[in-house]
Amino acid sequence: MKKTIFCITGFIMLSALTLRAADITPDKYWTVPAVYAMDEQVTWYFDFGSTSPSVLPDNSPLYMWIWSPNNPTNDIIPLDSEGNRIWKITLIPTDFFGLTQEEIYAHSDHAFNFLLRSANFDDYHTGTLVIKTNTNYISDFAASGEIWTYYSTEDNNTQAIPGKNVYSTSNVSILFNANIIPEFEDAASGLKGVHIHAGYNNFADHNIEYHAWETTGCDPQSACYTEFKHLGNGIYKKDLVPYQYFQALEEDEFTNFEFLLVQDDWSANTPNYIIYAADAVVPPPPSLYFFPVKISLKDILVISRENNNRGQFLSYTITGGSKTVSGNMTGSAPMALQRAFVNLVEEFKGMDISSLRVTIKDQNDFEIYSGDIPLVIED
Amino acid sequence: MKQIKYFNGSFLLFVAIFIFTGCADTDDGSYVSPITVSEKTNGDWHLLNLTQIDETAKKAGLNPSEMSLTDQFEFTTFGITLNVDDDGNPTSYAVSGNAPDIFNEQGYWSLDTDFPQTNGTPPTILLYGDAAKTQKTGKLSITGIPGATPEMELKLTRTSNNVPFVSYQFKLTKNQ
Repeated sequence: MKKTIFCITGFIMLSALTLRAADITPDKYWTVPAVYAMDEQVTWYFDFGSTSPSVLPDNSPLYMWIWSPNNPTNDIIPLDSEGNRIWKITLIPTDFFGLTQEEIYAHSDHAFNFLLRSANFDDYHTGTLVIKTNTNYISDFAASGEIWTYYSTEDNNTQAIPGKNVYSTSNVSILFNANIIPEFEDAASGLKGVHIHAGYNNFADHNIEYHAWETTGCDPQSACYTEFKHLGNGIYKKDLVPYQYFQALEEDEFTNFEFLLVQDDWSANTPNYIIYAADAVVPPPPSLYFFPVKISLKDILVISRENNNRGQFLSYTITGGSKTVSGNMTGSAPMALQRAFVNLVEEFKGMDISSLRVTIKDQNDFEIYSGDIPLVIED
Repeated sequence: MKQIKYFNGSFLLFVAIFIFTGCADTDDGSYVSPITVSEKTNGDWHLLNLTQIDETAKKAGLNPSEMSLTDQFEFTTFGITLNVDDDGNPTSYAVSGNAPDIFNEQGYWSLDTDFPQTNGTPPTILLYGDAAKTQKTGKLSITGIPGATPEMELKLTRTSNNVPFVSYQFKLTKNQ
């Protein structure tokens, strides 16, 4: 009988302990910046807006227990309360874990695995939370050969989303490879920096221009504010939240932000690029075509480019043998279509050539196309 | 006397028949030779519009396969005169205006057929560099033969290894 009472009492006590340990789950968690090198400072945010304050009181202590890739202290690590039921921890992964970037990426879990909990675990705790490290966005971008790309974290995504439309409140990381454009040679070698010259809604509002001469401070009018971070090897990154960066309000209309990237002294710049808002209508990408597909020296060559960037005006240069002709591409709606008709009949009359070298650039000398057009011999 | 009356009556009847028969004489018509292609196509023609056709794209179903050149390079000044001799036979031709030379601007011409073909194949203007018409320099298909409306359509097609790759479709109106 005593044994039975002992067992029942033990069961009740165990049940009480178990009932006290409340599972909590963040509504979302994300990183700022969206994309970061493992030796960069990053902040992980956890939003418990939907968790009852009776379980997780406002600003109550919250700790991280992490086991992958390791637990650097063999102990729980405190988070900071941001207020508004958001907690955060700021760290530099390589310093925090005592590992190199390569070791972090090479870890078999390919993720930071951890949980959040109260000091005694039993009051409240999450299940396993995961921030993946299976993609090295920066080295992947460098290997892609792309001039630029962007990533954002939004919509409950803990992972950065490449090339996804963003909201004015999204964390955006823009990556730029200075090695791709020859004129950015000094930026590629790290001799000069890269800045962003940008504006809200096709430069209609809230422009943040690059002021090379504003060298003091780091307010929105300064060169410091617009500067990209050099991650090494000519790869640059800029992290921003659109409405904050452009000094707008969250509720201000945001359909896109348009920008160009500039080498320190304006000695080089890219064409205009656009990042569209999630709910904006995204125009189709530019398309260049030559008409007709096969052409002889007795014909009229038509060069067309549709869906041009706003403010981009194109010109062509055609070289055949020792002769070069050039001209502008025109259009009544230049964003929709710019076109040039080239009279090969007259321009290259009597020449014995088998191909034409065609180069198309914009007004900033940015090369859109360079290639050879073979010439057909008429029967 | 009675006989004379009969004679006179018969004579009058004969004359009447003769006269009225003459009025109702059947007109068999005189011989008129059929209208030749040369008759329809000779003269001064002026450009209404010009379309460049990408035959490769057209065959592959790609767009664009046609491009208007009418407003380019002064093509609106393009004119062509197709001369004939007194018998209506093609002789020389000359291109006028400041448009690019899509084909030789002067020479001689002939037709591959005197009359429109019943199988629908368009008649073709053959272009020559010499009066003897031995040096062929090009050919223009008459894809639209002038009729009640004095308009003509000519098509110049370039081929490579016998495969068409580009054409120029001229729509012309006759200078009255």
